[in-house]
Amino acid sequence: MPPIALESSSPSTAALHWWRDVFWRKIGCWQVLYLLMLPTIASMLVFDYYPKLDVILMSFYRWQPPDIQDYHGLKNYEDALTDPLFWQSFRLIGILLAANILKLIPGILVAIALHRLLSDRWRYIYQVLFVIPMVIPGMVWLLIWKSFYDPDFGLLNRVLQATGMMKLLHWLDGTKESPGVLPRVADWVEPFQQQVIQPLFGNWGGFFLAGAILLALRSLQVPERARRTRIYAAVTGLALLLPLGITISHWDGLTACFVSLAGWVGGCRFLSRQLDRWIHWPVLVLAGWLVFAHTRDFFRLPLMLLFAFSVMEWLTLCKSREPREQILAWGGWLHLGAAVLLFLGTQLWPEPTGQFREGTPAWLGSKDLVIPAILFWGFPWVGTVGVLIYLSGLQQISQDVYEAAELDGVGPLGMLLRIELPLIMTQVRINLIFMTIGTLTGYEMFLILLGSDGGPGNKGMVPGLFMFKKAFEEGQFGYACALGMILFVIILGLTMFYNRYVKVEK
Amino acid sequence: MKEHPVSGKYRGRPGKIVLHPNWVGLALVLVAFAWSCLQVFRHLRESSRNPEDGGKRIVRILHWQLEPGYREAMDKVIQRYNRLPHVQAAKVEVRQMYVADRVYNQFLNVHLISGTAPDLSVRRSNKVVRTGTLGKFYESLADRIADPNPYNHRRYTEAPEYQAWRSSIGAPPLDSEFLAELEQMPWRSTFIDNMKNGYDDGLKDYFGVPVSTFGMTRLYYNRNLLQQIKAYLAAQFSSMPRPAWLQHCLEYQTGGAGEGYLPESPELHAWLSSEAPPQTLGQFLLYCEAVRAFARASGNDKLVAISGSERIASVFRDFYLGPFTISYAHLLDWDWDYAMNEHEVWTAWMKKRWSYQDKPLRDYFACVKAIASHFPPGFLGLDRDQALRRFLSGQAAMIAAGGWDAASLFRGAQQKKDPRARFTVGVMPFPLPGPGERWSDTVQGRHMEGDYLYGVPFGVYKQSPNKEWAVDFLRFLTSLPQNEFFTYEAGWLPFVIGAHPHPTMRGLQPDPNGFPVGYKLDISNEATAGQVVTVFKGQFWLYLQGEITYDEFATKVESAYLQERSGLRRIWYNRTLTDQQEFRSKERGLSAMETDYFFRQGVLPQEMPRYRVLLMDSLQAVNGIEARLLWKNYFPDQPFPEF
Repeated sequence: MPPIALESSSPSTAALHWWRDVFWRKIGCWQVLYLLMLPTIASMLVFDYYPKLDVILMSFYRWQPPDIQDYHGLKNYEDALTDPLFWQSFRLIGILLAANILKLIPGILVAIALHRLLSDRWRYIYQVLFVIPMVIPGMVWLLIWKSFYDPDFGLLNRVLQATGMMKLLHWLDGTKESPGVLPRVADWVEPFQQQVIQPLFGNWGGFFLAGAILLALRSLQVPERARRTRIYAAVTGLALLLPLGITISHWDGLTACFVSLAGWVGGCRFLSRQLDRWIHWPVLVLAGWLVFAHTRDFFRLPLMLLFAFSVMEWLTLCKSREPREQILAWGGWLHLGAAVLLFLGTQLWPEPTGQFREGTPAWLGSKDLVIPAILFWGFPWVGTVGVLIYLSGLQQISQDVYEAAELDGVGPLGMLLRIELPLIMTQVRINLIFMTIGTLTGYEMFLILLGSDGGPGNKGMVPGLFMFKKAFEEGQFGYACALGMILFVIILGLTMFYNRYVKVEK
Repeated sequence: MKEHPVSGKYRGRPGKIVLHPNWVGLALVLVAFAWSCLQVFRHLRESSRNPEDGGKRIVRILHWQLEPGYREAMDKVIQRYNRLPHVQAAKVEVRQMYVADRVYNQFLNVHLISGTAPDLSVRRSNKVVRTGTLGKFYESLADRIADPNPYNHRRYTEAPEYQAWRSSIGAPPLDSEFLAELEQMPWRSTFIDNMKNGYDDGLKDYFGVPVSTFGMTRLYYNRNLLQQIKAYLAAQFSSMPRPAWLQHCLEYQTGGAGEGYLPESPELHAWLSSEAPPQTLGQFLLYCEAVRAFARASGNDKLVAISGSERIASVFRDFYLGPFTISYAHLLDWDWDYAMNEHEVWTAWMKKRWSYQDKPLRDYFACVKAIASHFPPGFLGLDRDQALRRFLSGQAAMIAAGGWDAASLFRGAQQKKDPRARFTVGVMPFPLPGPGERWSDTVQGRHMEGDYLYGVPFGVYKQSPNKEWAVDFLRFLTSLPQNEFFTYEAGWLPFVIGAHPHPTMRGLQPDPNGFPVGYKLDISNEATAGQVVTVFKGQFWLYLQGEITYDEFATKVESAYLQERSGLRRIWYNRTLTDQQEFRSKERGLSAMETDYFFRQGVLPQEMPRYRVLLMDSLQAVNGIEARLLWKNYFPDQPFPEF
């Protein structure tokens, strides 16, 4: 029998050998470690991944445990996308997300202050003091805050009265007969909203979206026209997927699901190959769907995109790369700044509430004060876990960096803005992701404070509460799963966005 | 010098062992962990061992009654049961579990589905425990309730300790003939409602044993404040000129003219000179206005007429909906079942048989808004406990609450540390407009409370390994001596015949006179029409607080009714699905019965009626086709809504 010539073996045989010789040998080396990891991985698969996969599956069912489980195709998703109350809940979420981003700042400042404490002992004591409140159960915390807001006996109104702030608030608010300062400002700005924003952008969300699209255009600095056109087509195609999917679902839900999913994956894959900073286009498309879902005005988004791409083409013809980028950046930021100012002017305090005249504003009982009360909740917004995460990041900054900065004459504020803040961006991102997940899925506070209907005018209805209500009060578990999947996609999009933009610049 | 094992620093003199605080902390954690392990081990050992092996048989009973008195009374009865010789011989021990009302459904549903539910639990209808699934989770009790309750034997009912306790509470002695009859009576017949509360009409079977009643919802008032304010009110009547608020209240003239609530009449003056609480709705609102004026005059800006919260506002909303909408019964009760059911109400709206512009509804909402104007500011942000606290602190003249809060209110008002702050509490029914008062032409009367399902039925978990002991404990708990003792201690109304209620509970007994309970345009019932009712409630609170007008409220609610996918048309589709599900569960039940008969090769005579009724129900339901037939009948030109 001739000897087997290993050198001349086929590629598949070589792979087999590699598998046998390298892979299993390596496994053998680390088998104890793999064995140690096995319980964790197994329990993670069983307790973390399996329920989540089950949620995906059940979102296509009419599911009412223990006995009802009928396949419903995309009906749950269609119900969700056309449910006015669900989309109304995102208005509050937008406000909460914006406010919660600002609420991260006190935590960062406190962590930096703690980090800069010279005495180790005092730093330790403060850290312990920050950890102690974690021991207080969340429910107790909630009830304590609720009692603060009691109109007659609560601490907040007493403090406002004792400090004269109640009079200031009344001056800002006024009454229906004689409106205060802020409602008058809203009256001045109102015509702009009616005559410009409504017809051109559909709603406030559309106005903000236009600014974001202008900023995102900077990523389309592609010299070849043909490639640019393909990118324009891909983004517009993504924006058209939802109306297309809904139209198809009238005939066949499964086909609609398949087409939408395949289109989405294909579009994203194409964009990722064409562009370096591609992620904000899918995020913008998702945001656009959210913005126009309430009015089912889905074709406004492709139109806005086409207009933006025309502007881009015109700029490409007229300007070179550098000034073009500057024009887009300035235009985008100015647009967003104006949008924020106009939005606050008209929406912050559009009408007098008349709550402050008697000195007993009903913080949790009035539709106008519910949202401010929720925003003020937890003042001074220094979360224990957040501070500890920032501290861990700060402690990783090398002493050499501080010494070098001192030699360069950097002051305390410079240290904060140029060294500490940029170097803890990884920790900021972690907190941002936690905060986003918490804001989008949280409902306990709203349930306890306002009930499952979201209080007066359903003003306190958030997506998490809506999901809870559908599942546990109305027994529509399959529908609740579909709502959860929509939230999951939104959170995933935001997390990818954070990963792309919130990070330490190497 | 010794290096510290944790900090790495060198501390203390060489050779001396230094006790670092970290070691103390670690030791505490280890001790706590070891203690927890021991407890878990002990619990597992206890629950896994059979009584034959020296272990205990634990029977767990679950409810959500956290009001003071109930748990303590239950504990006392459990202790009595656990001390019984045959229970001790069998090494059985009953243990009580309780969770808050808000999370009760979730807690129970999860455990029912996962097979770990307590042996006994209060059966509460929800989207998981419903007719179709009731038989899956709870044991049928039909076979057991036909026999007499052994704990109603004379050796228990004539026991000297029991008789002595009865005389100590002032209860009349029990007739020996009645006791003899009770001893022989089927268990089912010993309940005041013949156990209707434990019966499921869909499955034609008994799945629960009521042990007490929730008691009716009533108005509780501060007697001390009542006398003070009535004296103040009488003084205002005799002052000249009368204050504007009083003139406004009395502006209403019989026949419908004026904006106030009631005309000045001899009955009104007679009430003023008496010690009675308000007898009519007009007097009630006049009294509320007087409280407000009294609070202003006495400089007590915290005093309000009604201690309110969202839940209490809902109590008023739900109570007055019936009396104001009884008049719709002759229009909407198409199937003559003494109820305006969900489909009759919503179909009638779709066919424009009623609308929010009708006088009865306008009057109803105006009335509830007038009442809500006497709640404290921001009442929607207050919870039930805050409302109870306000009433007990003497800062509210009245509060609406159910029988479950009665004990807390009576005891709380009398057991205050400061004797001057103590007051007595009275109970009154919700008042209706008196003759000639505002809204008297709309309100035709009150609903009866006689057939109201107000019992607290405990069901036996089907997978329980201790079913017979669980039933035995229920027999004990619902025997005359124990149920009387339990409800008396808890301050609840008893549910078995012959039991003497606590004297303070007399005002909470159901009133059997009035219109059928179903004669009510139930536009706020969440169980029937989730999405539209969510919008209804949200807008209702805005209206109640004066943040929107009635017309704005009506427009918003009616636009929610018209929504394509989440509006009223959806209810028809949902009903088809529910009917189909119930039909299938009945079919399953019938198949199971037939299989049982087949293997037994015969049917017992007492089993036939239930089989026939179930078969008839099943034939009528025909896979949920009823809703489609009704739709075709009501809307012949429109296709059935499919989603």
